Amino acid sequence: MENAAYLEVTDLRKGYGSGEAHVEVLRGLCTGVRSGEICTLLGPSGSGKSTFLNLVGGLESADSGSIRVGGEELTTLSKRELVEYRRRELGFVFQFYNLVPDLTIRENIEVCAYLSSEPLPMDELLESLGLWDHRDKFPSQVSGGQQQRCAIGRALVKAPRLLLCDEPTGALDYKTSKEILQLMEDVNQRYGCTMVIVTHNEAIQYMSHRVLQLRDGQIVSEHTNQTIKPASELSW
Amino acid sequence: MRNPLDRRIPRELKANLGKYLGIFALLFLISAMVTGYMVAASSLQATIEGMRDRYVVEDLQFDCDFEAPKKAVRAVEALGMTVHENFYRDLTMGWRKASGEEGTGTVRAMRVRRDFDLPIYVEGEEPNSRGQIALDRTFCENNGLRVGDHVTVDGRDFAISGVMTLSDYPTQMVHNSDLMYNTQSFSVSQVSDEDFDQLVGSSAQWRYSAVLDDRSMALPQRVELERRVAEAISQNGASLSSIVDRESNQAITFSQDDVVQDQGMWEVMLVLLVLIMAFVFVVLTNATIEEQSSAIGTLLASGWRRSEILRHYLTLPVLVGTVACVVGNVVGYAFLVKPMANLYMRSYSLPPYVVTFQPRVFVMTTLIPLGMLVLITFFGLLRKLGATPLAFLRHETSHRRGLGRVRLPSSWGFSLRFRARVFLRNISQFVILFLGISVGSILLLMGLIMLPTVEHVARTMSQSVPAQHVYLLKAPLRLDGSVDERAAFEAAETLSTSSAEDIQALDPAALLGLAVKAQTVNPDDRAVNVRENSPERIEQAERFAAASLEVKRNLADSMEQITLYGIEEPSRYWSDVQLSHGGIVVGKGLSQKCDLRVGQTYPFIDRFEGKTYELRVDGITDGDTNMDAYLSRADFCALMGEPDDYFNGYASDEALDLDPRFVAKEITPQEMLKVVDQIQESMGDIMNTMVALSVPFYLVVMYLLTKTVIDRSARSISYMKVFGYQDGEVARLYVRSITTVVALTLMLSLGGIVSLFRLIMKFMMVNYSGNWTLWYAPQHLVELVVIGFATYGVVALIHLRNIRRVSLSEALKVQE
Repeated sequence: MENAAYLEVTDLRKGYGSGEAHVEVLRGLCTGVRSGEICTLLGPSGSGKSTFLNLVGGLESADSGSIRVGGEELTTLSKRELVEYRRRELGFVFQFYNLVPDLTIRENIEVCAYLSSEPLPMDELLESLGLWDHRDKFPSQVSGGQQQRCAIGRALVKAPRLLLCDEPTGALDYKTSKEILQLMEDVNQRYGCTMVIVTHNEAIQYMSHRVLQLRDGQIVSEHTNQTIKPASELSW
Repeated sequence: MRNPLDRRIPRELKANLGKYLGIFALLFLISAMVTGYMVAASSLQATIEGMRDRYVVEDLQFDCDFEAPKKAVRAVEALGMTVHENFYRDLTMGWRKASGEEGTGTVRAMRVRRDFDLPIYVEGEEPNSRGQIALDRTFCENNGLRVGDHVTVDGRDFAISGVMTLSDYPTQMVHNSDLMYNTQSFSVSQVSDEDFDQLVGSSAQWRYSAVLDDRSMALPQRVELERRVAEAISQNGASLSSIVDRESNQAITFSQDDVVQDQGMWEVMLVLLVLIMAFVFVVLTNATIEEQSSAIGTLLASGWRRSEILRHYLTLPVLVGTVACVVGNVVGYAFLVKPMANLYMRSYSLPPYVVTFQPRVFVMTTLIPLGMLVLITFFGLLRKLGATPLAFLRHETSHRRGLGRVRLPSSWGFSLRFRARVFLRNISQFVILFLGISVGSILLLMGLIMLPTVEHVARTMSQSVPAQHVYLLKAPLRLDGSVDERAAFEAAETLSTSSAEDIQALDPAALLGLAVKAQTVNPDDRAVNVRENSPERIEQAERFAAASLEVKRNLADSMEQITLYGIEEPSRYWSDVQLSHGGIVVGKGLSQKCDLRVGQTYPFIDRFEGKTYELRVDGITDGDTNMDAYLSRADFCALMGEPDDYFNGYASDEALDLDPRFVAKEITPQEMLKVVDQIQESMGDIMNTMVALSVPFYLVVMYLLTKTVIDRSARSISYMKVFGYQDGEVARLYVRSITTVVALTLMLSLGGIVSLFRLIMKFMMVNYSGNWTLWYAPQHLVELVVIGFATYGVVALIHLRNIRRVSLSEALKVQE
């Protein structure tokens, strides 16, 4: 694992609305995530977790502050450059999978393989995701866990350096959630990609290298885990 | 790597086969019909345009009351043209129809032409001996007559030697000012010179046709030339009764104008239909995008470019549109050109046409619709895809969110509020639905009320004929001559019209008797009718004077031909015309079409005399189709510089027996009504096509747009079912909202489309003679609503079935 911060955020501010209705969601956030780390963001609803993720993902623009990913300053990038950044650097996993309903599992993953000049080998990926037998099924024909595996595969296939996961197990049952977390752990170890996971599930922090606790748009605690539990040992 | 999203295209097509089949069917139908029509019309137009040079069609014609002296003809030719005698006689003709029924009508007999206005024979040959006649193709086809069949003309038997088209009569116009042509009971014909001379049942009409030396002369120069022609004729002892430029000659131009104007109408219709189809595409594609909003958001978040996604969602509409237009084009060319051309060939006597590839038609029916489709869909998608990835992920791409969240009065019951929400949430679908239904309604309305409108115009014109018989005379003809006067005029007529051989053959005593009687005729006296009419008939007949004038049309740079009547005061036949002195009273139709207002003075032009009269309008008399102007006969004579006792017509409720040599034209209400049959025959198919086209258009537009409402509510419908609602109750909430919108649209759009149609009609008919105003009975609007609603009934049934099919599990699916 490298020592330099791959993701570096300085005095990040973001608000919505204007005048009296103005709400500041992120208030001067500063943090850093090293390359290859799993970083978990915890916090109650409205604490700014998803906003943080969206800013790092280039889906929203910050009011002020700096976001550097792999040495590149995101806040100065144009819309077109942000698209290229997402295309090259990022993978997204959402709570509700968001698969294209009329593409098969394999094709859904190919949708992002298409964006990369050197995508991961498809068959191998399908095997490692446990989706080989379901590769030709449509999303509506597989379980939620399998759909989320597919979503992870889709995010992963273009070999992104940064994987942003918004409540990846939020819509899944306990058993499936654990399977998905094991998969993410495996992906992190196998491909070495940096992961930022936004979650309400406090157990996930134990499989992470770094844990950030947010409240009212500020980091109220930040620590690095000395010992990391395997995902298979997590329980909640 | 091939774009993986491409794989969803055939699946999307399969999953929404009904939707895409509907779109395909409609575009295909529009493309095929319009291609078939446009290719046929363009080919016919090219044929008509080629006729002028190919068949040496005349540039102008003039009629004289009597045969013009040679010096008058020479004087006209000296102005730069070749003048041909084109005399004709309108005679009674009888024939046996294919059905076995006896037919009677009028044949316009002419000599065989050799140098101008050449005939085109489609069957048989020209008459080359006595007792043979060549008749017009359309007349023969409409009456089942063929070469070898026999007809009676003026009581004599003739064998049909040929079926032909006369190049100066592609339209069988009996009179140039007629509302409509007549291919049912009127035919032009050619007979041998001997037969022409012997068919004396009616006097010859002294028509001259001229071919200009400079055939490229522009209209303003031709108008000036025609003024000089009129002068030359008048100054050389002939009496001019009409002069008609080729562009004003309805027999020559009507078919071409009709073909050209119809093409314009079809082009407008095509644009309207494609425009609506493009908006339908936008709505449908937007619905798909909304449905897949989160997936698209994820793609955008993963680095997909907006342009890549836009291209993807544009592919299917473009593909379906292209295939539909191309297949439609091929089918249109292969199968529909002939039936479409027949719509015209049945009405107009045109030479055989050649179908050629028409690049303009290809552009009109394929490239322009496709271009419109692509552009509108492109911009619709661009607008939709302008949302941020987050907006897609949060399902916030719909621009209707604001309306969907409008606060509704709490006093409204649950059902009403629910339906209002369905309406507000789908307002853009309903707006397009409103437009689509309106366009469909215009088509349907055209199909439903064009014929009644034309029939109404004909009936109104028929009712506006002031008497059962209106005779226009070539010269004043007294009815009240004594027995001696009649005998004297008859003797003079016999002597003047008999050939030298006939006169030599007369008994000397008889000849002397004739000469003595004829000698008593004073050349300055008004001619006396040689035929006998009872005193009662003479008593009820009323004299009038009439002149043909022109006045400028309001919306076009062309002239309307009108008749200025000098009528008795008080008049027995024009009792509703309130005459004034010093000015004229105009018909309501004329005042509307030419925007003539009371108190204003307008120039009225007499082209034959080359004079302009500045006439003040003092009043307007009733009648939407009344295109005449009136003043007292005394004022007429003073205005025209005629003697006080001048007249050139009789209005009479009883038929008068008049010397046919003096009769220029007889107008009867029945003649006007014949137009109705002709219109039904010639326009019925086109109007039925409109109705046939509008119903599937209604059906597909209604189905596609309302389907998106049901589709995007599938989850809510499923919830309702989970909550315990019956299918019927759910349907009442959703389908009734749609039904209300459709019903309101059908009724609320009526006013707008009728006004729009009125306007379209005004512009469409501006260059036609007469004042064409839209006419419909309430029943036509009821029919329109009923057909529209019946079509919707089919759609509603499909939706009811779809609602029954929405499964309970839809609500239980995991979805953000």
